[in-house]
Amino acid sequence: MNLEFLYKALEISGIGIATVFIFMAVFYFVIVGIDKIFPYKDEKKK
Amino acid sequence: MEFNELMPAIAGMTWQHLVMIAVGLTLIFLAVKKQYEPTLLLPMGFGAILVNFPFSAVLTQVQGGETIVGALNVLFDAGIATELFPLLIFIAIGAMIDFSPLFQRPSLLLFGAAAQFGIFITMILATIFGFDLKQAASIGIIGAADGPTSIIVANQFAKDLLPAISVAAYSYMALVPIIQPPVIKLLTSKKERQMHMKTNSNKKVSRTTLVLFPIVITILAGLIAPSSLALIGFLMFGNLIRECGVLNSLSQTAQKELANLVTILLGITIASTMTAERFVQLDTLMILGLGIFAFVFDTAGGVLFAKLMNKFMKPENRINPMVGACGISAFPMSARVIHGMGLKEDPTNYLLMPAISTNVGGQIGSVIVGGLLLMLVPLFL
Repeated sequence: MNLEFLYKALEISGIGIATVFIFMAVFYFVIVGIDKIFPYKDEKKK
Repeated sequence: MEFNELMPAIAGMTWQHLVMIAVGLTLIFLAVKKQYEPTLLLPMGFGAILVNFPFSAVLTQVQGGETIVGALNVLFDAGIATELFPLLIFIAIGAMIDFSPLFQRPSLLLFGAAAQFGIFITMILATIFGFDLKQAASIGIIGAADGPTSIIVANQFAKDLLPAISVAAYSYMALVPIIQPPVIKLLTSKKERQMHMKTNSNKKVSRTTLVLFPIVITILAGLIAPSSLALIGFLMFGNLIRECGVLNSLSQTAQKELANLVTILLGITIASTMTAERFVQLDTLMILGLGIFAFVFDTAGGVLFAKLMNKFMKPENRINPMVGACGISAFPMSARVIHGMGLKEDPTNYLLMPAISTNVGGQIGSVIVGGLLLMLVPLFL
């Protein structure tokens, strides 16, 4: 076992998990935002 | 004339070749008899047989000082080494996915992040087992339950491990109905499994929203993590073709002809790397073991995250923890498994819609993690 790889893997995991949650949170707001700006009923009225 | 000149294939056959031919036959059996991912396991199984005869003409051979290029090597160089085949598959997948269930309850998207937990845990574990950082990341990504992403990451980081990683990724995707239920049962009570969920299945989504979604996601992915852009961009391009409403013929072609053609080539081309010299090794067994570990911890990550979220939610908004397990990318198999489990616990409990929403989030999450690993690992070397 190479301890250097292990520590790096731990670091990458921490950053990776945090970043993927940030991505998903951003996407969440994108979905909520687009849906609010362009709701289905508006399209129906047109 | 000597025997090895007359029958070079028989003379050159080793027990490792025979093992690989048996592996090929097993994959074909699983595809045909058990219908486990037949579109990929069958071409891979047949390809494994093709490449494990000494002096097989499908692989590049040197005869009398002259190099005779094998067809599978040509396909590998053109389609896998360049990542063209997996990316074309992403266009097809994007054209197949309907993202509108995500708009019914967008918070379920977060499970697409939580259920990638196993990827990172497995990566750490792989380093403990002696794999280097690039190899460990390639092994961890098996947990994405996403074949094309696994191929792309392994192709960039650990070409030697590509055959074992591809076989593990596609085999375990097919085994989701066997892997997920015991893990979920272990982590949840009967009462939790019987929990009903408030759904918003009548909510309709405007066409403008569905057209804008892939464009905005691509722009954001490009800004935050450009290394994920090939993966997410091709997925979203396929989805844009589907949702734009003016390219129905292209959308149908992407979903059917493109998907079928590339799948045929992808499976048999991956098999070109399944030679006895590369596959019959202790590493292969370790990768297969770590791959299943990744799937188990992905499932656990999703379930435990749902339980955590429930602690902060109003009772009427709580999430059935089983739905968290759908945050993996095996779409729609994982959603179907969870829906089936819900009905088994309570015949009036319909979890299909939230499960599908979560599973769609898992598709996005797995691609994002693939891109993140491609970006992060080189930074640490």
